[in-house]
Amino acid sequence: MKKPAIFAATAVALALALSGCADDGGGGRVLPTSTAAAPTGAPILIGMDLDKTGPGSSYNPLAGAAVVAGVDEVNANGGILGRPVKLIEESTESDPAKGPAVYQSLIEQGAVGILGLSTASVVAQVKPIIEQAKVVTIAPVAVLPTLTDQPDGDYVYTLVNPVTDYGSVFCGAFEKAGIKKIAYLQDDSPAIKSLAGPLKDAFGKCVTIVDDEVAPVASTDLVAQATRIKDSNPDAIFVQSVGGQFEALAHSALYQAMPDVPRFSQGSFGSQSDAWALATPGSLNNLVFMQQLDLTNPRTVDLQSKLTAALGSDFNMSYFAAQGYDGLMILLDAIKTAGGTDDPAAIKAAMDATTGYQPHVGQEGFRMSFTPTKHVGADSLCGLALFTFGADNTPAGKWSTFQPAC
Amino acid sequence: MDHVQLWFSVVEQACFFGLLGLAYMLILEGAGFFNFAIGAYAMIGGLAAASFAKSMHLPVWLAVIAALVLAGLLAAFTEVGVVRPIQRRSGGARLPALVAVIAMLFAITQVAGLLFGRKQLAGQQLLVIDPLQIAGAYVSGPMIVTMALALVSFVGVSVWVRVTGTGRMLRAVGDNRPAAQLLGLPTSRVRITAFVIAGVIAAFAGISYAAKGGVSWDRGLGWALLGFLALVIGGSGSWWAPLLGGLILALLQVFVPFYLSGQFSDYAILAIALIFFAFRPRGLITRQVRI
Repeated sequence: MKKPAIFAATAVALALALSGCADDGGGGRVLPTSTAAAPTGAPILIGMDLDKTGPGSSYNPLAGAAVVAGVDEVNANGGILGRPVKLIEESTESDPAKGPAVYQSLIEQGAVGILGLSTASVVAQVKPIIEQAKVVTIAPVAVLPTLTDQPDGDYVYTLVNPVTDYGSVFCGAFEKAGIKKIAYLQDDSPAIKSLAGPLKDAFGKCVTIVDDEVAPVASTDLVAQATRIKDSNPDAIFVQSVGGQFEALAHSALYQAMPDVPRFSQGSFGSQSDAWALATPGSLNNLVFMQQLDLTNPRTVDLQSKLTAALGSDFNMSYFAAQGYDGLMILLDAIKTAGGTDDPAAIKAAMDATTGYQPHVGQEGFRMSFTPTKHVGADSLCGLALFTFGADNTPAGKWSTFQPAC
Repeated sequence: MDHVQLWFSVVEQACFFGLLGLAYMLILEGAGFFNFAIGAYAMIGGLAAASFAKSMHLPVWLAVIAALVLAGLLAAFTEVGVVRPIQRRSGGARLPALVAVIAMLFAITQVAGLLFGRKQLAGQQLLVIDPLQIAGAYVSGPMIVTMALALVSFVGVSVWVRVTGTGRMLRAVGDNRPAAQLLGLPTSRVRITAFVIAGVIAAFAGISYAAKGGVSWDRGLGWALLGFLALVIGGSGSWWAPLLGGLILALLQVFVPFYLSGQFSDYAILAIALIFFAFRPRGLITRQVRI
């Protein structure tokens, strides 16, 4: 054997040997928990757009793991209408341009419903395809208020409070905390760009934005932005990002520049436990963040136990996981109510008749309902809650100053 | 000088970019081409150290040593398993080797994602201290480590190429390998030494910089380009030239967002790169040859 071949063989062997180091957030599977008869017949195919690269990859695997666990759970309990549920997984990599090809592929493979876990901008791009194919598509993590609007919104659904509700919640928080002027720091990812506009419009009604900073999502240093914000002398700082390294760097830089100025965060960061360690020790102390996951909600705690049992002790509960799980369950409920998968109109009618669904996100009193003209599930603002971080860079509990009411 | 913190940030980034540029320069001098896999070595260093410490629960120092060994082996493999066979088949041409190392950069990136996962990992703190307050600025442990590493590396390489036989042979081998072989110089040993030292320096830089805000599998390409530009701007006339190039890049990275907007920093980097490619392709510090 020649030397290059020896090296290649060694490299492959090393790669295979070390692949056990991988930690992509996945895990095991739900073990059958009931003695229900095994589902038979043609599987009910559910499409899933799950990003493993791109901006959405920081949270998509969290939702995707819960969806996979939910499917395993349903199948272990007899399936839907006696038929097994099967996932078809594709990825748009958070790129709207790839949306049409990926969704068309899911539809051609026979998906009777789709969970669009990627960014809202991707789902917005494929609305005409969804409308034409008449495939109910739920965007469980999407918060773009216009996503379900016409045209081409008949088969598109979202679950949680849209970003316009965030404005109402934060304005209430600012008012309660006596904050009159804020500095705004956001990343430049397509997802955040699409969300920042409506949120800034909402903030314009309750506070003055004295500095508005936009930085590349791949930034490795945000000291310049933090210094500019300090010069603007805000009462508080609002950070909006896809989370991960960007938000960790932002809070590290802002904390060192202005340790006493209150900071608020909207985005994924509050549920990205892996990302908290990226921030400078202590820099997240007193950071107020909003999220849909409220671990004082007993339904959420139940789901956490279930998913931990299914996915292993490394599983960290996040609202993405709960949203993915809720999206799957609402979709499967609609298929069950429709009595099959042959009539897309019947599945849509069943979706539109969903009322009082008790989700695993939000506060305990939070409910989701749909009608033919209301395709956003949230029934009230209490799908959201405000929390704070402690000095150890982990969440310390609900923010005592203000909470949105049900 | 109102904003001392900005200047510390400039120095930290200059040191990081300069270290990557120094790694490029070692291979440029020893093998005569730009090894774009430098960015991948830096990424692998940071990612492997973080992963070894987190997943295998190794002590930080052991995780760092293991990551440096891995990066050194990877750099050696680049020379022995990729560049050398290709140059042997292409009669010593540099373009095929250049293409091969770019492919190597992407291959390492994908394998890193497979081995260590595609999540961002927190970097390892090599110096755990309370942040120092200097003139109102905040100086963290990772910042001190990056600056110290740059100082040690630049001084070390400068001394190595003057004092040791292998170091002195480095430029001869890179400039004209056939002539060096005719003279009986151990060209293979010199080249592989350059690759390994470059790989270890890049990996150490990646480890120290990762402590600032984490590291992920897809960082290699960006770091490869910044290190390359540090060398292009600084030039190759002095072993300290990449540090000058890194300083100019860092000034842009910090002050363009401060005076204009964070969205313009990439354009500023592109502009400075185009200016140097067009008007001063040999960089600011060039080698003076006395005739």
